Amino acid sequence: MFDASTDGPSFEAFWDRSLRDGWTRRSDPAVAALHFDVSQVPSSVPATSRALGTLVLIGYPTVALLDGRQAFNPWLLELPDPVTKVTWESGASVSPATARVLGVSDGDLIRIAPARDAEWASKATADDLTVEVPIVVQPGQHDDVIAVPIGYGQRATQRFAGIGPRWLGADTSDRARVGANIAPLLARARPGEGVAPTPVRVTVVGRRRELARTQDHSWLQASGRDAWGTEASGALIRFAEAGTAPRPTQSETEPGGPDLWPDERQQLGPRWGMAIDLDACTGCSACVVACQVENNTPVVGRDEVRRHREMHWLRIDRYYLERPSGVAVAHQPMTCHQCGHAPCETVCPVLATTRSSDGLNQQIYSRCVGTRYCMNNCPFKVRRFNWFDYAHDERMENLVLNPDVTVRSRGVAEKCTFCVQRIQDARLAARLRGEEPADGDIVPACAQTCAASAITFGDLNDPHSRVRARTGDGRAYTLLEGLNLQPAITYLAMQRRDRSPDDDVDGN
Amino acid sequence: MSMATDPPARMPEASASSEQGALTRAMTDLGGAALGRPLRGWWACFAVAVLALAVGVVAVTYQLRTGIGTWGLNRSVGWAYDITNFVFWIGVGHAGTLISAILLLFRQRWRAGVSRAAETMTIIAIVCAAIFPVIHLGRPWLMLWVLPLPNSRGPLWVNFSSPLTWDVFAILTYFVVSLLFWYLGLLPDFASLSHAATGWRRRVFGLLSLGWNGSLRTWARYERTCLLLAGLATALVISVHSVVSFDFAASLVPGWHTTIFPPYFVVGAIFSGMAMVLALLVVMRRAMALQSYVTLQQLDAMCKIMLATSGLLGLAYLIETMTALYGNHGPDRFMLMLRMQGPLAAYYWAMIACNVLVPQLLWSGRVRRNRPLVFAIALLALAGMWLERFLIIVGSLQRDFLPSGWVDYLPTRIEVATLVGSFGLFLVCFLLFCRWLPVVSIAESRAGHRTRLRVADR
Repeated sequence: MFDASTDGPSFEAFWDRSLRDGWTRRSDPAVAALHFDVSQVPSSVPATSRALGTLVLIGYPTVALLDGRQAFNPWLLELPDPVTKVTWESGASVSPATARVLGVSDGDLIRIAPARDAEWASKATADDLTVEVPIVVQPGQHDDVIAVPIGYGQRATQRFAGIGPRWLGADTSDRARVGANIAPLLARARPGEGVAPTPVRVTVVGRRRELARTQDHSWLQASGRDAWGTEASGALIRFAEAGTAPRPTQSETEPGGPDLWPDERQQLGPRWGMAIDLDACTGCSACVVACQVENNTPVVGRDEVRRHREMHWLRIDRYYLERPSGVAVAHQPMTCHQCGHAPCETVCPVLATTRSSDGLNQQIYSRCVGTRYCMNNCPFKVRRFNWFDYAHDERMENLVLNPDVTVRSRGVAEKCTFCVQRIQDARLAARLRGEEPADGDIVPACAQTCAASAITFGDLNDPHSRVRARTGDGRAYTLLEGLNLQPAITYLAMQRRDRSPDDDVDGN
Repeated sequence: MSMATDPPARMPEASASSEQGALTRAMTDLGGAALGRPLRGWWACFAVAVLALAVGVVAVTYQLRTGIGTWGLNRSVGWAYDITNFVFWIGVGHAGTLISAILLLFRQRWRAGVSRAAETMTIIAIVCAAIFPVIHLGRPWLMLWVLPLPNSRGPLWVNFSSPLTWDVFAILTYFVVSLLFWYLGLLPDFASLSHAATGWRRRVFGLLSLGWNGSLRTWARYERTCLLLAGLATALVISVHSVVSFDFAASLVPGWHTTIFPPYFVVGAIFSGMAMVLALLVVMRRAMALQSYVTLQQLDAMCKIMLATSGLLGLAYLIETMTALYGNHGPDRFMLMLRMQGPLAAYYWAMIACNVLVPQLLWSGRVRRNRPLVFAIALLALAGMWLERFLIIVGSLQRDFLPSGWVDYLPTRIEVATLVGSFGLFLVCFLLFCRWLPVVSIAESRAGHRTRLRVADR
């Protein structure tokens, strides 16, 4: 630890400094630069794998757990995967065609074992190399591939499997580790070659394990009984042509006809709003975790997510679109739109949800009696309900809470506040300086965390704010315009060009 | 006013000797149970009802202690069994008000034999219904906050633009008026019972009769009050379920947001209420030997009301379909297709069968006089009406604007137990009524006897 060449000649001085700082610097040997030789990467799909029941296993790191180093964080275990939307599970993704061949659907357990001809497999026992995972049918996936996230199934993750409210109907049978570890299955040929795709044998177990999934319906162009999907939901994700003309400014788009319900709540101060660039959003879900951490949103556990009671205030809706080039995926961050004409406000019998002077739709927890009428009437379904008492008395667990945000009790509704605590903080700081907060002073947790800067927050009433400028963008649109909700969130449409077969790979 | 000069319609002619015989007979037949005569099979029925009630009490107690999470609700489906049961029971209550108010105003004599049972059923049904909006709250201990009570929290008032607030007023009014009507009808009977009884019963019934003396003036005032209350209650028959339907019609949810709901709900309510009265009376008539008071003619008339309301209900379903098809409005058409072919399609077709198709059997007089068959049709109608409300509530909520919010719903055992419990409560109360009060108005049956002498009803 002590190195006279870097730490100085005196051990005493080094010791005192280390005690005072609480840390020491350790010099590591210089790391030799690794070089990456593309020609050494094995072909991802061996041509011989076409046989029924033989698939190629690919282990992939998820954004939440990476290689598994974050497997001990319940926030991340409950974070829906950006594409599969599965939580608390390492599901095996297969294409719809392969699922049909195997005769399985979402949640059917399969057993993955090494292919018979893999000589490396004979060295280990079959038990070591067999994992049981539930199926996740993944549109757009290669038919020969079975993809399972790595980093799951770690020792000591059992304690998270049973997280959640304890009650009569709670399914507490799952006491195993979270997910399954597929590392032993992945062929490691020689050191330095990394993890190679592995031919595996897949057998159907015949049992099921329901997925804890946050989104069940994902197609924007549905057929048959879901035909409405094409009409109403087609407008959810919009595609813009490059170079679209700027949108008329807000005052011009305001409905000109007489309003049966004149707005008595004149907006004098700021009107907080958000613009979300769907083109920039990668669906990485960092904002979801940021929101959860900032706003003391509880982790509810696998059983509750299965019952569709996840508490995330901000979610990312993921839609599939059938395009000429295959299945496209669109991500749409979805949170409270802080509507000007808020459907939740009119229906609450006790005025527990009202509009603030700065245009926020505020939820008053202490006034809420829990009729859930607001949740029913919310067209975006962004309101959440405290089905149980999620707050706990444990000191250690409470250390994680944000002291600026109320911890909600059982039986009240809650939803995104646009991080009102940060708004108030910034306004207070500005007031002490004798001014109003400048554009960009207020950054909600989601916007702060977004690596792609897809979220712009600011005052819609300020003609010079960035968010105001974005609402005039040619790609700007609001959701469910026909309902005249006057939402404070504006989306910027995606610009997509369909890949033609002769385009090169990255021509998306 | 003619009322003051004509002999009051329901006042018995004390001089007629046949009336005296009828009085004695009515007293023994109808007042017997109240005066201590045992009822056949009562204890067995009561035991079953208490058991069902106990199941419900246990379930509700557990839910209140643990949280609404013990129900199968989720982030998209915020109401399911709770509000379905609420609307169902409120609807069932409508028959009593209809019979006691509208049919009184129209001077439908046949109502005499059934009005007491129907009115009692109404009161009990409102109680059963009112439990659900209370226990469905996330924090039921704060239920008084939905009332505009003076409070210490500054100018904090209820939200008068919320249909739930209208609900509170509508149902409380309905309960009070129904209770008044019911008690008023019981006054002359309490007096008769007090005369016939001995010991503590005499004192209790005497107190309950509020000093009824049976004079001409008392009767005249009684009749006038009844008519006045009937006028009030008539408006309530229409208004209560209209207001309940506003919970849905005034919202944004596709499948709820529709102008046809108020009449559609009122008709459905009368249909289910008649079904409940029929089911109860068919059993009571046999178990309590009331054949000469609750006649086949009366059952027949109620069957006809059921048939008529079933037709209206069918019309409402048809109009809903036509509006969706003609309107060319995406969400409406989607909702229609969803009901007919979606995950709850089986419920939809079962509802059509129970509410529209099966009641068509009542066109036949033979069916209307076949009591077991009428009983079965009535039970099916009740099931159908419950399904209708379930479909409207859950079917709409589980598929609204954003496909990402589409979530299916499954009830938990706790929820099913609350439904069982509400039936238990209903039956316990109704059986207690059978045991302690005259199930057919003694006063009216004496007046009715006079009519029967003129019109043979067999």
